[in-house]
Amino acid sequence: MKINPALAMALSALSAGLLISCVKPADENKTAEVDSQTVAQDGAASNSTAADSANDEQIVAIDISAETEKTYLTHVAEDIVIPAYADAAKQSGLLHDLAQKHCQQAPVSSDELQALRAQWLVLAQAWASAEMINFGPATASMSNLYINYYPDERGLVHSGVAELIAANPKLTPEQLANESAIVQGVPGLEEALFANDSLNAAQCAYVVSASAALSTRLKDIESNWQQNATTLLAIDKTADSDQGLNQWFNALLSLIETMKTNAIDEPLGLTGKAKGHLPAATAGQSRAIINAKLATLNKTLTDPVLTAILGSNDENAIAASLSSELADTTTLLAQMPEDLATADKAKQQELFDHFTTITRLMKRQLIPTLGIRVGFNSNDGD
Amino acid sequence: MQTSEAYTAAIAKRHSASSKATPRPADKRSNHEPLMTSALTTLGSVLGTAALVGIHHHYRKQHQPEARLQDYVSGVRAQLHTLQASPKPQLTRLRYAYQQASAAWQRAYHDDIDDKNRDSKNIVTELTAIHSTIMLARPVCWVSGVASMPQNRSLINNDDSNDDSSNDETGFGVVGIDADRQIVWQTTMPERVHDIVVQPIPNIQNRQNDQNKSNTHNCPRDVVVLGRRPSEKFWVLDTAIGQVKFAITAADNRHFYGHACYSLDGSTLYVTENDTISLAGKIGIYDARNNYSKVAEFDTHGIGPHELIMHPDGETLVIANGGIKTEQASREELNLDTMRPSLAYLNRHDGTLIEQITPEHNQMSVRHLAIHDDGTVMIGIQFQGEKHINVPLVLAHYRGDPDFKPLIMPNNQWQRFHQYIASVAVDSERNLLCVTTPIGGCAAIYDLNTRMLIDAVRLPDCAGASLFAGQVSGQAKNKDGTSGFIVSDGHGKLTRLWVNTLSVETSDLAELDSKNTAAIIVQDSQIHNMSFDNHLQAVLA
Repeated sequence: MKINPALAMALSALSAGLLISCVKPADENKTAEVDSQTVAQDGAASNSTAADSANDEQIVAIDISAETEKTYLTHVAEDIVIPAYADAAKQSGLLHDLAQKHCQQAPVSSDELQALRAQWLVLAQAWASAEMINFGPATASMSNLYINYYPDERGLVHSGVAELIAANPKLTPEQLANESAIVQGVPGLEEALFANDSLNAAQCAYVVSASAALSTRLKDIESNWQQNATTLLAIDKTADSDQGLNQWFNALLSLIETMKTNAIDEPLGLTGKAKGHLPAATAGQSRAIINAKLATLNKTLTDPVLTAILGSNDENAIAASLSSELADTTTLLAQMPEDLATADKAKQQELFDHFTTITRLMKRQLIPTLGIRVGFNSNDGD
Repeated sequence: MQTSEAYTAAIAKRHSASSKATPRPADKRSNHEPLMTSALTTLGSVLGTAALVGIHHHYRKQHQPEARLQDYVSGVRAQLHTLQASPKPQLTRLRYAYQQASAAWQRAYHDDIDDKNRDSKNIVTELTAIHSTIMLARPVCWVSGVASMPQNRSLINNDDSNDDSSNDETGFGVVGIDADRQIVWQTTMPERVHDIVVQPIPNIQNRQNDQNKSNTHNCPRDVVVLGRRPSEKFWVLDTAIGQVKFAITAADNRHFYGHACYSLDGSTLYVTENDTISLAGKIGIYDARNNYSKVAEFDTHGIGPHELIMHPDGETLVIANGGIKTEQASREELNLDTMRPSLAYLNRHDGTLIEQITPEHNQMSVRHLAIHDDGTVMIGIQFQGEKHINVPLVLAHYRGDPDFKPLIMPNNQWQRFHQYIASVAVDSERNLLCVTTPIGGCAAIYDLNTRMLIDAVRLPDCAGASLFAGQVSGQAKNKDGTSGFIVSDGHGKLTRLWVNTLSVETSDLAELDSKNTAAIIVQDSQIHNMSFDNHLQAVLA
């Protein structure tokens, strides 16, 4: 009985080497991290590709420099966000001025009332545009409910405003500020202006106070953005993270999905039992509200600065797809009646499908191309 | 030359013929000798390998205190998995053959078990064909559900990939995360998952010293992954490597509600379930030592049970009865006006109702729970009422108290949390509570001594919350000596949060509001290329 020492040594060295090399990634932490991230990044492209069932193109994330990201986010703050709130505040101020003017001699009816209603619609559209910026001071602590309590599934605005006016015939903006969200903002004004054929003194006092309180809120939001845009859009953190970009596009996506559900699908009963109501239903102006939101989307997603970023990889297909889909949706919406509830079912479904395509393009192409991730906990947490 | 060869052949033939005819003792010895030589050489090789690996491990341990001998085996398995996951065509067939053989073996094996235990509905499916795992040999500290998980496209086995409604976020899976917040393993899942539950180590509360603590790394532990409600599946994975061991299907007329908990000895799993006929809440009891076969069922004494936890007394189940009847197919809520949520305490052995508390408003859905070591239950509420109604969203309850005790929010501004708390996590050592609200886009920390909010930090889409250090397996103290919480979000961040005690001491907590947020909570993030889902659980040591 003899042992073959040479063979034993060789086998020992071989098997020990194999075991040691297999455990090596655990020892070399840095190397392992890089390896795992490489796996992850390599996989990201294929995952995105898998997500894109419509076309099987490879999505390549654009390498956006910190400086480019900073420039873009600064542009978003200065040219999209702040002007949107400034416009809403301005329109609310104009409604307030007009109400003060016409309400000097109550009751208000006919042309004066029509002028107030027309200005309300401009204000409602301005807010619908600004509402797409679905984060920051406007949504903090649900303060957006004081601007737009929507959807109001139980008709609380209708009864709330009537009761408030009856109880406070000489309502002041200060008194109103302490009242519930259901009697404030754009829907409260809509109720007062559109549910009545003329405005008596108490209703006039409400319109004056509500438009003043709304102006104050909107100006505060604009001012907050003016002062804190750098923090709110993480413009000063672009070297470390894509937090601002992530926040911006996910907030947009989240609001489109919410709008698609709350303002189209549920009130029209397209995919299930009808529930809730169309936006500006009392005024019969749902098309104008959806159109204002679509216009903001158009402005944001076909923005030249964003398009230039998307084109930096010689990949303009995403920008072109989005632009084309948004244009088609705008055209369709223009062909529909002012009150979308009166449109035929096929057109309603077509509108819904267009928004589905837009969200799909954002999720599957735009967001992966920008190298950021689609969030989802805030949409459908459990 | 030819003559010589012919002669040699003839001699050999003769020798062979004579050997076959009558074996002699000397020939026997010569037959055994190569065998013995081989055995001895093999033994020498094994001993040599063990010695070399032992020497390597000794030096490795000096640099990495958490290094384990098991890592060598895990490393080999990891390499094998990597080979299996390779998209190379020459390996795909081999992998497929292995998967088929493995699935067939598992079916055969478990069919046998089923024969012995026909009541059990637990069927191990073709797991390796459904799930794929990529891993590194490193200790796991947390596990989380994810979406948009990067994966090898060749591994996607989803027939519905063209169905937009069900697959808006593809790449559902589970990941194991190490102390550096890096992904250790990732395993694909066929649907979106919710809670992840780590099997406790038996007698966890009795372990006294560090020696015992380090030994726990070598205990094989399961991690249970629950499908998002109303799912009909949960999966059992190996915590260390993420490999799927079992896929458990709900019994007839039952679906799962997305949460589960183990008994403190890890032998029994309790799962919240729905009776799809009566819509009554149920707790399914599964034997972890018998392939997770269902052994009993209790009533939760409420509708829509969501999270459940084990009381530190080891005898009591604490259940959040959300109160909502949900239509399975559409997830539509059927009874929002009449819902009756509650917190129920049940005897874990026989299901006896011990205590039941209802919140002040019937639309305060009791959903997410965490428990302090002293037995105080921390509760995260999802308010289902009108948007403008302001109700407390974080509550506490101690056994025997007649009511919930809400935590304190500055100016009673609960709307800051947008009526939804996604997760709650308790640090019993420091008496701190972390809550997350993805809709509110922030995570907040409370001081449980005063029940007051310390501060909240902006974290868009955050949801999962867990302990960062201290009781978490495999973690040494952080470089700066702090511990705290880890919060995951849908944008791919794993953020560490800890309280800057100096700031807290110099602040008046009662005066804190959103304008006074000077780094009372410190945060730092690791970003990953995936979206972290609702829950994140620590692998407790």
